[in-house]
Amino acid sequence: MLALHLFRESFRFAFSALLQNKLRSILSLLGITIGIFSIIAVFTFIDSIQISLENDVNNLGSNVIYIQKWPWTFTKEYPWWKYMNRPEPSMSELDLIQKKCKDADAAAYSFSTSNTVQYQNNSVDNVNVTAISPDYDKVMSLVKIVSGRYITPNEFSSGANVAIIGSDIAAGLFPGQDAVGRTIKILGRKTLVVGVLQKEGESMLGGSADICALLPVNYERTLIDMKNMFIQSRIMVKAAEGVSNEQLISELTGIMRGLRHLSPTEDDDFALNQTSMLTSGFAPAFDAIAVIGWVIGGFSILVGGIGIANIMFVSVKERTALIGIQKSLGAKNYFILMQFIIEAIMLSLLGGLFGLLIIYAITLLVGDSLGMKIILTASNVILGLTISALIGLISGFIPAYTASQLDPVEAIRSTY
Amino acid sequence: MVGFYKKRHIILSILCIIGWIMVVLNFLDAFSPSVKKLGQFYPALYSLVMCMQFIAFVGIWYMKRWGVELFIASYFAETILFVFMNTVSYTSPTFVLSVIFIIVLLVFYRKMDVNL
Repeated sequence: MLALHLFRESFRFAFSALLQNKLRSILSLLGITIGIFSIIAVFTFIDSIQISLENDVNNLGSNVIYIQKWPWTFTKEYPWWKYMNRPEPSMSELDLIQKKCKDADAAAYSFSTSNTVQYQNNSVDNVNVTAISPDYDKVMSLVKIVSGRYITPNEFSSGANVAIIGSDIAAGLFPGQDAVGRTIKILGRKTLVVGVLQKEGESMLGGSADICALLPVNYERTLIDMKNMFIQSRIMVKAAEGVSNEQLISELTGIMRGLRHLSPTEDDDFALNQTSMLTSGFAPAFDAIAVIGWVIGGFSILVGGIGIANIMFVSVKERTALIGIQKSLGAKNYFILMQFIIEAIMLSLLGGLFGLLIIYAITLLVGDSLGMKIILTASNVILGLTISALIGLISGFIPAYTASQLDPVEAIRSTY
Repeated sequence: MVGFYKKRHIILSILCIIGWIMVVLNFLDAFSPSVKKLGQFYPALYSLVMCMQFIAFVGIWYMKRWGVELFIASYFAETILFVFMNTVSYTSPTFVLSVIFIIVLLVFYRKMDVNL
């Protein structure tokens, strides 16, 4: 109880000391404000990008393996021109994978092209027209239909002229109206809209579902030249529950090598891609940005800490006589020590809090304008406040300790 | 300054200056991206340990026993933290230097003041 009372008393002394020198307090905490702002702003930005990227990757399927002609990352050992001669994955290979692969939950085939979609006088350019096989919705989590329905097995097998369109296409072609049941022109052919996808928003990885039209593969095959080198097909295989991507890749490698009749000495003529390759590709850039923020912020905090230490020494010097009176009235050394330490921590915490408030204000101002949500996470707030408090403790300890060790007689005599 | 002050040996002065430089550099390292990656609370815990070491060196500078005691406690706290962070290395310069520091400090421990 006594300790609590002493702490409250020290806090009151420290608070009134800060209030007496408002301008000096504000100027001395600016260094900490800039430091905390630099470090936590960079961490907040990076965390927000990573969260956004993770969401995009989850939409693509973190447990989905993409069998393609081209890999998503290249190695120096394997020259790019060798990839040119590789065959594209085919529907027949999908059928065999579905039969043979035990570790797969679902598999689908797809290929895409870009085209303009029209309805009467309205049109939407650069639409990602994607041909899909029946289990596409089971493999890709981004297929969430808000209006209408998914393509039926009968429509898939017969190659019916039906389509599911993204929300931006629906809004562009049918502003304020329901798109389901209307006939639009895709790749020059009349196509019935049977469903509209849920709005997804911009994706950092590109290829947002909002500007995508899904058609049965047997229908789209009749509309485009499949020998066109720009048409790149893929087989997507989703891992069964409890199966790791590595296990699935291992099984798929065996199956694909068997299907393509590759001898043990021959290289794979297919690429098995996974979404983690995309996120790991960004990691070095994130690390570099974080290090820059840390270096700038670290030095700002260091300078800020020295500023606080300086102001605390001045504060001790100014109040030497007061310390002498307090000690002569029975104040213990630890009481004086606590008084100045609390003052330094409060000063530093205020600086950190200002820095965090500036970041929070920026996150509110920026909003979604960068194509992602900037979030000041609780862990970054805790980190910012902890750094501030500890910098205050380090900066204020020596002046506080010096004050606590003063001789009351000499201190009272002080004429600063 | 109040009371009787024990004379500080030159070795302890050098040790304190080296210690403070190490602590400041390590403190900056505490909130580096690499430490942050290890877990949400590691930067806070690591900087707290660094803070303890800084205060310990202040105590040693003033020839106080609590400085040595705090340094040893912070050393063990740091080692435990490194074990959890899976970055413990018994041959690293920091680890070896800390052991040397503790040995030197224990030599001078009896000559130090028991008060705050």
